[in-house]
Amino acid sequence: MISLMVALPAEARPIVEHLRLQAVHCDAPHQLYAGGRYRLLVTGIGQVAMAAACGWLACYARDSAWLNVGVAGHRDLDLGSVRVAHRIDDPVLARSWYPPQLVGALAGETVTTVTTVQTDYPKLTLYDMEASAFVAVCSRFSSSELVQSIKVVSDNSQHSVEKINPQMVSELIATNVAAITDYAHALAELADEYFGSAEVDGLEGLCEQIQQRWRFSVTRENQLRSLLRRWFLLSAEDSAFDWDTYSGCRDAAAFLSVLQAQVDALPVTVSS
Amino acid sequence: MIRQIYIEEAVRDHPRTAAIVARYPEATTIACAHYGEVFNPGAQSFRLQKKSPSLILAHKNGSRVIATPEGYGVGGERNFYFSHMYNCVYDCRYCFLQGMYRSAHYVVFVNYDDFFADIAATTAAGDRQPSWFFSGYDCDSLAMEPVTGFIEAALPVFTRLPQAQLEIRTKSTQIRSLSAAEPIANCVVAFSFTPDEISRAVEHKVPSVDKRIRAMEKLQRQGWRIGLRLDPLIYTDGFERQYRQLIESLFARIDADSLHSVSVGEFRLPKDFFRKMVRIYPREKLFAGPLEQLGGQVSYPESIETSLRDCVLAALREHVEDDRIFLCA
Repeated sequence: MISLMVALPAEARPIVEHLRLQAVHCDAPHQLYAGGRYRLLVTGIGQVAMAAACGWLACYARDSAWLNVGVAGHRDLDLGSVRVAHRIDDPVLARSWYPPQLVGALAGETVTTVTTVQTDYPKLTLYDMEASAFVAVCSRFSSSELVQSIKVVSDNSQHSVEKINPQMVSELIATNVAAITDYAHALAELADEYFGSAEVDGLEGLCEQIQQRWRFSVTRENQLRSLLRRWFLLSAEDSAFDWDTYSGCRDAAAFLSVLQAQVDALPVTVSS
Repeated sequence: MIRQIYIEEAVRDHPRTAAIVARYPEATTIACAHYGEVFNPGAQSFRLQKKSPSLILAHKNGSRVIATPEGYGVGGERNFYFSHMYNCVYDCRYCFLQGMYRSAHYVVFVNYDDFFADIAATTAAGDRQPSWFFSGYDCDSLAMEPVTGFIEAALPVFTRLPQAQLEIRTKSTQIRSLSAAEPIANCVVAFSFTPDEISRAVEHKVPSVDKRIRAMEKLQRQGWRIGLRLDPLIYTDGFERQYRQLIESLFARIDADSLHSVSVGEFRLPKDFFRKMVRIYPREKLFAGPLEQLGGQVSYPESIETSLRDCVLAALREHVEDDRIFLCA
């Protein structure tokens, strides 16, 4: 799953079309689109709007990677250049973030997030108005490798920010939409790997079935998970959980005691 | 391959920074105020980063030479360790670094001269008593040597400090800087091993046991003092056969008489590190073994530790006298 966060409808349009996303009609305070493994939210301009939107979507988007896509200014880079933020500075907060770069498809650049439109580009960085809020909030919901920001240059010292209009923004994004969506796809793969490896296959289901038959306190549930994980890893691949062994267990403590003995009796091997 | 190099403000103009960066012409350099901004934040995945770690070049402030925990050593009274690097090129599933650090990026502290000055001062403080300095505590001492050149820079320093003893602990076969130098009497190159089957299962990206033995042999022939480290001991069905086989292969090829020392260490991790490691690698069979928590540590039960240790010691004693075998706590 990947959540695409864009500030402007003009930024969203080419991505929505390219990924064939559908508008989701719900009571969302923002325009939401979805399709396949993608969700796209139009957040509005600025850090507060971005932070609020990320917080809202995070309630519905567990196990997601997060990608902010938008336009930005840079003193020297050509219009239409696309960069991934390898460092995000927030001068107001005096903080920097360094999203780890594991998807190598795009060149990196520092992004400085500002509160007002920047017209003189004092530093050689990209200037935008949302990235710091995006990374600060989304890093609370996901691992920082899965929280990335892509910027397309919309203005520079030769082409001032006043000349930007929605059509131009859409065209700039459209020109780079294949690179952006390829990146999003690779990030989604990384998210699948990250969230998919969070637990041993089959453990959750078996744990649930056991908890339907015996009542476990939080501490005992932790013991149960730990023992089941060991059982899954040390048992032969085709082993089935033998419910009969536990039929005489009157409570969770008795169940854990039998399970512990079963696990301790399994041969221990570190190789596959 | 390193694709990003973070450069701390303090070492931006350091000549060693320039030399290391030059080795990676394709890498992007990213400035940072302090390495901790990149290395320390929460919400990082050690496992994901291990797929493609970045390099961080930084200045090491504060304590650069630290007393080792009690029980760590090979017979000396004054024992210290230092880490010119955090994290390791290899990916050993039992390694405490993955439980200790939030990031898998490699941090290299380029102010080697400060390390050397601290080593000299610590040696001087010991009067005439030998001081042992262990390298390879928070990294592998040699795996990144072609990039860092740390050992190459350290050898002349130790040549001038006969009261200082250097242990270079490694699983690497990157021995070029050693084999190109004249052996020095106060340096021990200590190679770590687990049996081949265990190594293939849990020591990812580590050179094979055979290649490591070959590197050991080569250095020993050149006159370097060699150490053998069986640390940690790993329990698996058939461990007796596996460890015996390993020890036989080692002593069939290295000269036991000129071996400096052997140390044997148990599998032991602080419980918080262990929990984090299980969270990172929930499918790791090593963590499904018969481990138990006692106090703040996770280790094998006493009975298993004893059988592991006894089996290994018995096999070692066929080749080495007790006074060169050390048990690490």
